[in-house]
Amino acid sequence: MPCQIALEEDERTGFASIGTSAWLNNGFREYDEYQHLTEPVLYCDCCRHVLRAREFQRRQGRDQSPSVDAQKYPGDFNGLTTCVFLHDDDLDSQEWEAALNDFKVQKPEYSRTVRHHWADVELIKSWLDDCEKDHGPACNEHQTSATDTGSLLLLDVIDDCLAVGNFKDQYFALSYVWGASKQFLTLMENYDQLRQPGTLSKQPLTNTIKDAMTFVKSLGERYLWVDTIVGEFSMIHRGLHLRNPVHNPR
Amino acid sequence: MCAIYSCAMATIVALNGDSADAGLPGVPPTARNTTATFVTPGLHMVERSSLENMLANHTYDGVDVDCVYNTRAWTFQERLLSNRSIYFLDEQVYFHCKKQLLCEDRYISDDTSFYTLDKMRMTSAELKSKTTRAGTYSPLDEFRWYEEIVAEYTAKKMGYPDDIINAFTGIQTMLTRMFDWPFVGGLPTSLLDLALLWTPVTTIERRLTTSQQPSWSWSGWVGRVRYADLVRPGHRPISSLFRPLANYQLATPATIVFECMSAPLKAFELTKVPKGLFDPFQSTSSPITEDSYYVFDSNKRRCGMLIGVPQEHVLSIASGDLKLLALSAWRSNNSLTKNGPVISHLSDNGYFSDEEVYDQAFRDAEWCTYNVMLVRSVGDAYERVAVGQMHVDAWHGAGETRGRFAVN
Repeated sequence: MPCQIALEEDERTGFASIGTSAWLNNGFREYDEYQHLTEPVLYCDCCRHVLRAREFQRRQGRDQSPSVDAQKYPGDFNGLTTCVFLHDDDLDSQEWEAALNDFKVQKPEYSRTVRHHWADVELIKSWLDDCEKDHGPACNEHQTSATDTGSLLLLDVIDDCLAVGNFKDQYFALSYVWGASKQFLTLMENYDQLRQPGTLSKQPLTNTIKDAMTFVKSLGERYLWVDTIVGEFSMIHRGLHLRNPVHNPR
Repeated sequence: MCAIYSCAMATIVALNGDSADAGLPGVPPTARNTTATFVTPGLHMVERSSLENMLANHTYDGVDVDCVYNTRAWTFQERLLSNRSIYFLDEQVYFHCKKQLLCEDRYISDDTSFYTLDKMRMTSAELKSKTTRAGTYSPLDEFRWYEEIVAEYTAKKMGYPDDIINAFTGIQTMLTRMFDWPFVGGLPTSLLDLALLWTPVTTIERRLTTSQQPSWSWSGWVGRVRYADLVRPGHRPISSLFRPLANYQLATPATIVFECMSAPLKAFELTKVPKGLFDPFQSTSSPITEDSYYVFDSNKRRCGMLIGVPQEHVLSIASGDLKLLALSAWRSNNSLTKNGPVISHLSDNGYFSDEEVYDQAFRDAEWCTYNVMLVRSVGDAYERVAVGQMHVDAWHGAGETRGRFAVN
């Protein structure tokens, strides 16, 4: 990979060297028959991401020159198996792709950049929808295998309250580590209150549960099951002792 | 419990962080990739922790496992029971269903070499239909799925001693559904002859639980165990290599009544094994526990090995008031050229050499290895102390008698 060689040999310029003649010759310097080339025969996915990001900036009339000090390549860089490229959150990937349609460096076939700070909920939703629609009974067993007739206490993330549902409801489950967190638990005392809409998010819930509620809501779904709401209502889960609610795995 | 995760539309897995305060990276207000490396305007990069690597990194004692989620017993069960999962990693989200493993930075399915219950079910169904046609099917072939789960599960951490069974019942239910295995104390009773042959990887001690777990199960002990010390068929079908010797009946509570040959331990001498013993056909990084003993016959010839004797029982070994029970036999062990077991010793200067466990005076024949259980009497019943292997000729020379032994 010319980019890897260039990055390793010229740490001062780092990623800035991608696309330069130094980078090109690094990849081909040992082969006389390639010396006449003015561009690589093949671009790796890394180089494609970098060159396309730079070209996009240029076409937008923005400064595409990187600040030098931030360009040092991270020591263990080994192409796409060890790194994920991130694009700015406000970037519209489709607009980006359309804008570079005629650019000589085509988009990678294998990898894509991901949104920097925020998960791509639309993409996740499409995976879920495809799986439900196209993957047949194997993936959708949960809809038919619900033989358990018991009720489930669920978080209703739309009405922001507790709801009594059952195994046939469309709900998400949360799997996470408690660690040293102090968990808010649903008990008999606060059960009636929490059945009222708009009450749940006012409780001191842990961040993972709060984020899971936000995520379920952003998918356009309603129900979430988490183990802390089991409380006194049904089964013992995670050795959940009400007098000692701190889950401290060793 | 089983149903909650398997009936969900999807399980949201918080793979990052070491507590419930960590949040889900990428879900507001929990921003992800806050320390990314700048590449060029509009582009950053971060290190890629593949889901496959994160889940593979699970059973190394003494080595810090970065992913706390993967060190816990409850979350292990939750992950296995889930039909469909959305994994939140530090840098991106993965989606795993029975058909695909998708992630935000790839157009195609990512590698899925980690195992799932569904993969076990499919692989074993294929194998079963193939071997059934060839007339070679044996339920023992399915033992390897159990072995794999137990080796990982017993390395997990849990909050309460009773979790050893509580965090396993959902997995049991699924395995019963898949393979028709009834369970007692965490062991599938239809494969009990093999399932009894677990050995500790490190020092173990009895587990104190509200409902006492049996000593013959790993659930009765605290510590990581595996089967690879005594059950190592390689690519050969177990059924052609393995023969049960003991008859047994199950009694309540969680008692196995063996009817089998036994020999007194005092007919033998034990010597603690040197450090750095390992199976030459496995990695040097997974050595045999140092709590193991070579067994010598009355002529001081080495004739076997007991693996993982709990330190609390070392003194009772010296008193010699223990019995060995003959449970089963192997046609051949781990070596391709020897029938008896072969062991390797890694010396301090880094050299290692293979040697046979049995003294050269013992013939190396097929079916020359007995799997034995060391038991001590407690009241009118017995308790498991360790298991191991012994040469059949040494066994016959030790004054064996037939008897009934209730082990609980």
